[in-house]
Amino acid sequence: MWQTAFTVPRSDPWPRTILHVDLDAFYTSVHQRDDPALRGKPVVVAGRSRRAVVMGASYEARSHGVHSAMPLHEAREHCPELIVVPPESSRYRETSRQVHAIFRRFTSPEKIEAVALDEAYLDVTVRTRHGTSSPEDVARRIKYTIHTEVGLTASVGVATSKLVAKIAGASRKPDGLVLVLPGTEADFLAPLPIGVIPGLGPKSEERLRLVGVRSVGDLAGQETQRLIQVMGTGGAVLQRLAQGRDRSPVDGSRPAKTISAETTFEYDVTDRALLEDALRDLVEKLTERLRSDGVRARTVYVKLKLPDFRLVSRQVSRTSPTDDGEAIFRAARSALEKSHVESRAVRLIGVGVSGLVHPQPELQMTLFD
Amino acid sequence: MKLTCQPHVLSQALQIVSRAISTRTTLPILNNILLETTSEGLSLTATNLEIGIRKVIPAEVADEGSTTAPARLLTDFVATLPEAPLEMELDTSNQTLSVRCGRFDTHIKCIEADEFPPGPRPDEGDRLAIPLESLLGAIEQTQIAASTDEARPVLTGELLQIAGPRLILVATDGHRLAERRLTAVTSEELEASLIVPARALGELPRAFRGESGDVEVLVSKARNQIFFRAGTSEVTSRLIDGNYPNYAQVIPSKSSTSVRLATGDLMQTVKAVSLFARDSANVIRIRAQQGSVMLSATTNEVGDSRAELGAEVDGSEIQIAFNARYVLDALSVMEAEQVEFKFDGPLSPGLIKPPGSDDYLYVIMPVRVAM
Repeated sequence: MWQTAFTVPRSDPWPRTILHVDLDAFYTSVHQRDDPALRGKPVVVAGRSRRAVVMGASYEARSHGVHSAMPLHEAREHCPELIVVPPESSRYRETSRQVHAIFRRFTSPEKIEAVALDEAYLDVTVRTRHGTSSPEDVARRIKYTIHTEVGLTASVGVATSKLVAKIAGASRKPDGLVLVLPGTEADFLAPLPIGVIPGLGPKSEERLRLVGVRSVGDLAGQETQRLIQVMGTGGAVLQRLAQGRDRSPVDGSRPAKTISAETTFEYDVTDRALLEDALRDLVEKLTERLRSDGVRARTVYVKLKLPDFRLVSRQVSRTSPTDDGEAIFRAARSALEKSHVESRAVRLIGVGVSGLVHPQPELQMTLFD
Repeated sequence: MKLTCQPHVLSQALQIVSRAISTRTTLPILNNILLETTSEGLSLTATNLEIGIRKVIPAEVADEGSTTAPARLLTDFVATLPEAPLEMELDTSNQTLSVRCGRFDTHIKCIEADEFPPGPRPDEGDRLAIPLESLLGAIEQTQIAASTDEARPVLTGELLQIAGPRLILVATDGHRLAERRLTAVTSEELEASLIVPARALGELPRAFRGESGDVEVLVSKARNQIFFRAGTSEVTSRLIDGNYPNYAQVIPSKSSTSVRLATGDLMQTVKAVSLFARDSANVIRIRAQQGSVMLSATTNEVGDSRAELGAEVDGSEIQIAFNARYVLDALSVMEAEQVEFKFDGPLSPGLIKPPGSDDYLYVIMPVRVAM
């Protein structure tokens, strides 16, 4: 059953109609869809290494306390009958492409912003502006089409901003549909804990708690000057978000924010040369992704997980974005030098790129290459 | 150790020396400044193992000695002190430094001086002397073009080419390049190609403020360290290991258009017009035709601006586009009243220089745009 909540009977016009669509338990749902034997079972997607980590867990597995990023051996302790399937990234991407093709029937490509393979924002204002269809209609039709054509369920939040749409969508999962009507955004957000606001880290949360701010409503109602004292000028921005005032556009031309790849070593590695080998393989994968997405990256970061699970991460920024494997590897290697103390054991190495841009039609030419 | 000095003199020196302290260091001792008495007064040294800065300030030394004090704390504290004689005394039994000044009586926990790493400070090597003003001028004119991109460490440095008394200082980030020639006092035979971190060179103007005469330069035999001294101030730096790109080949040797303009007018105009060059490439378009130069910039959501300037234009008409910031950087360090641009087509590097002199050159790669 789809759940509809917070439909306060009041009908301001919709200045913008923004949908947040999140496919439920995406990775495992793809496998359960394709293999009936997996349906209704606790399934996780994870690698084969003795140190594999859960990449995605089905709702059946989640009910045993299994969640993504949990070490596989721990997941097995929570749920002995756990079924482990190896990841198949090409299948996930293909499925994601199908879902995006459906999105494009409802709005133009520049109004579809992909956040991840399984998550996107859609601005469907053109469909609802003249009253030809209601926001709820559009959301239901998207859910229905994804379900019948792709065989997956999605949770959808509908609101006048990205922020509220995302929080709404996350509030009823799986297979949810939550509408927050125009004018009711602040009331909808008020009772929620402040942690739902993106960009609010645990430290800021703690600082706010000390001045008695626990819910989003507390934050919205605080005296702005006081917030600025506690949080700096960022406090005023957070407050606007807490009041449901988010004007950021759905930007389909914006590429995904980061692309990353990582590998957990079978046994801890201390040797720098071996780390560099692993780094080279990861950079190769990453570069392939950059090329196929047609984007270039400005910042390269390297992440190391030490045997005590502590994470060390350093980044290196380039002056001009690149998709050249060698350039990215050089940047990654200098980030590795900054993060890795010689002869210290490393459990996992990851590399990622951010500051992604589509190549400019205006091209700054270079002197040497 | 016991001495008396002036708080404002000490404060200034501490602020300069502290710039060698890195904010993220793995060695706690590097958060400290080495204090040593010398025959000239009190010596202050800080280092991050790559760059070291040392200054000696006048002090009346009653007892000789040395220690290391936390840089941040000492610098912040001394900056607040009143203008009264400042007396420092070290209790060696517990490495506590008493600082007495006016109404203050303060005790700072220190770390023994022998914990402090010996800085990169060559005692022997090749020597040369460069007039202070001309070295600082050359640094100012070139450092703007150095890269901050740590992925290409070589370009975060400046190439210092020594061929007898003739020196060339070069910096480039791959998009623009600055070259400055200057003269030094050195032996005829000395030849060297060094890559000096631009960040270290950038410390020289600050560290040598108030000094005059020549800068004494010492290059270690192993060609891995360089040392600069003017008066009682010293900066040492590690040299960057690697091959500097063959920069001479990208300096244009011919041009089809040459333009001469008043530096001040051009700079003011570029500044104004470039407010409308907001996109990431920050593009300003230049059209040179007989007797004038038209500058323009457009950003869709912002608006557009154009301005026409009188100019001496020789050769064929041209339209070319540059990152406005790169042009402004060059103009801001151009000492001459007039400036000369040489172009050789919209996709070839442009050259900016003072007319009638080849001591300073600035090369910019254009931005390829749909004209």
